[in-house]
Amino acid sequence: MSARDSILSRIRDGLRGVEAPPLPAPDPVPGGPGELAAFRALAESVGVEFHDTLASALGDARSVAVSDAPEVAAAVDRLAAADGGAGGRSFFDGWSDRAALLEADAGITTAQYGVAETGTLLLIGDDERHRLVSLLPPLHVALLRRDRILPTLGAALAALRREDPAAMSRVTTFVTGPSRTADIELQLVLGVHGPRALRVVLTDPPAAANP
Amino acid sequence: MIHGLKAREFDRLSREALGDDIQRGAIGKATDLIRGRRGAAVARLPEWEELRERARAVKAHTLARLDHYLLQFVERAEAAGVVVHWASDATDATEIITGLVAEAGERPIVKAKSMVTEEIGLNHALEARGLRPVETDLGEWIQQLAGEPPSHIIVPAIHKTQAQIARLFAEQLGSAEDASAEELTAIARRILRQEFADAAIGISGVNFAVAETGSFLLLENEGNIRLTTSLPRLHLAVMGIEKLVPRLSDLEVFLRLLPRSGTGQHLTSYQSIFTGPAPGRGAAPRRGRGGGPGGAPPPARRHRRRALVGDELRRSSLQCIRCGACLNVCPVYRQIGGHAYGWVYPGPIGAVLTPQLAGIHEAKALPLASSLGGACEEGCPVKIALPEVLRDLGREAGEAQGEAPGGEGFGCGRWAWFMRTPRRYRWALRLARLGFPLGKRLGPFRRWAEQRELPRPAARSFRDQWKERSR
Ligand code: SF4
Repeated sequence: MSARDSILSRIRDGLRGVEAPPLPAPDPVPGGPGELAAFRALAESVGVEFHDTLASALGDARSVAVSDAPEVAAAVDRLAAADGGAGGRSFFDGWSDRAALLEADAGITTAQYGVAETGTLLLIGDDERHRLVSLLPPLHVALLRRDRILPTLGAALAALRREDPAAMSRVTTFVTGPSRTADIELQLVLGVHGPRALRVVLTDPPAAANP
Repeated sequence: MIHGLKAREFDRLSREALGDDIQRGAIGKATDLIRGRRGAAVARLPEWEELRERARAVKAHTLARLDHYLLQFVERAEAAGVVVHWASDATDATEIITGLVAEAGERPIVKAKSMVTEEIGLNHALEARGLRPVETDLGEWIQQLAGEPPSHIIVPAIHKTQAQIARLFAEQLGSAEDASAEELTAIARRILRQEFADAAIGISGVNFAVAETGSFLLLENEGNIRLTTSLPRLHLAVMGIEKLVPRLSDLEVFLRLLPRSGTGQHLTSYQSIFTGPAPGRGAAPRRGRGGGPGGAPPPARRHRRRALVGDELRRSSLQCIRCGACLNVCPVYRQIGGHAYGWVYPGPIGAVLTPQLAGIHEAKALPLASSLGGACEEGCPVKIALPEVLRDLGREAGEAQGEAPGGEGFGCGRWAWFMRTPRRYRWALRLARLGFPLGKRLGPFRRWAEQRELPRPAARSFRDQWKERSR
């Protein structure tokens, strides 16, 4: 008998005659958008900084990795135009140059959604190449559209779900604040493996941005 | 054979642990802190009790139909491109995994914290084949440097002080003797970044698996799980069969309960949900290319999980989501720490799981060495009736001992153990004075006390009074 069959048959033997208690009905998912102010307050409570402009979010970062999102490219172009150059910064495709990404000062991505309940950013891997750009550099700058706030974690899960599992994003990351540890006497230290700082720039939906 | 199982030596190990004042101090301080944070987080969530009940109900339902949900999960995961391996026990699991990772050779195999890989003794098995597993969770890495297993489910190096960790780093890595937590963490980041960059394979556990989509979820704070699952070409996820939930929406209740119970956070920094091998999003595309095995969670059902499935009370042990809350409130864990429990799982959940997974003969003392005060059950986010399971196992241990269940002999033996040295006696009395009626609170004394009214300790103990009188 294969391991699979012997495992299943032993579980079935164990469960013979067992009546399963009912599975609770799913909690209704709240409709409508989440509150931006709540999102911001929760995110700030775990150390996320909000910046009005990309330039201020980048601070003195020099070598900057970008994801492949068109919004990121557009924001970088606007920044370069406004500065009359990139302000001494160099930008490169973080997702195609890992060696450079390991040395970068910052990474810029978008987040597909924010979650008001927890101050969480949703990075949906099939929509953007942001997995490593948001993880390897010590600073992660995320552009988030103001109209993309979901109310709860339940709403976030509902937004990810597809009837056909093959249609689900192969990886989705929920990000709530910078990388942290408390493994040494429970003292909080940021940036243990991932970014030490997470900065969010809120952006307007395209219609409002290009009237 | 179960690697590293020492639960038979509980008496000796806990006696030694009681003598370690530094460890007791560190654990006392840390568990107090976590308990405070957890309490505050729970108080901010008025629906806490409803969430616990929902979580319990979801798990109880799933476990009672485990065969169905397991098959559904595997089918959907395979449809999404995951290669699934089935392992019927620990040996099976380590053999499958060592086979899959043999190509790593000299290159590091980066590991994200996973209790199930501790259970199956994976590092030991990999090292025996000349492979190089590297733990990447900071606490686990500290423990690996020290050559010790973790002593807490959530905070692996909870029993060590910063000064001890600084000395360990100084000895092993040549850093400053008085390095701060910040500096120690930076050292770990630098060294582990190199390991990540060189790694051939990443091994993780699974926190929750979703039957309807074939997805699985991992939670963390550090980012080492994200690195482990994105930088190497192959991601191997090792999963116990009890990790299932039926629907994607069921994750919500657990995302709300687990971080609050574990660390008092409203959410940990990162959750990753995987559905099939990740696309080549990194600089060097990995899984699903080159014909190697894809992202592969082998449901490693090891030891006796299947035996637990039949009995309802025992089955509830499998609801555990490994949050560590029951450790943090356990007066026994607080005194003796994690290693004394002699295996992977310490505290009340260890006393519940070890005898069931390893066999009662391997761990007879554990069910009797636990608090039955109920704090663990009250704190458990999935409402496992820990004291009741412990009582049940205690009866089994008593029978295995060849005496009447819970007979006086056993209880008295334990009592005698606490009386043997003045220091332990003082400790027992101090606990008693602090409002821990010994017979009720401490497993070892319970049977004994039920039959013989335990003398109620005076407000000042006889020992103290005697000391004064003999001046
Ligand atoms: S038994 Fe309950 S409290 Fe203890 S680790 Fe498991 S889920 Fe947490």
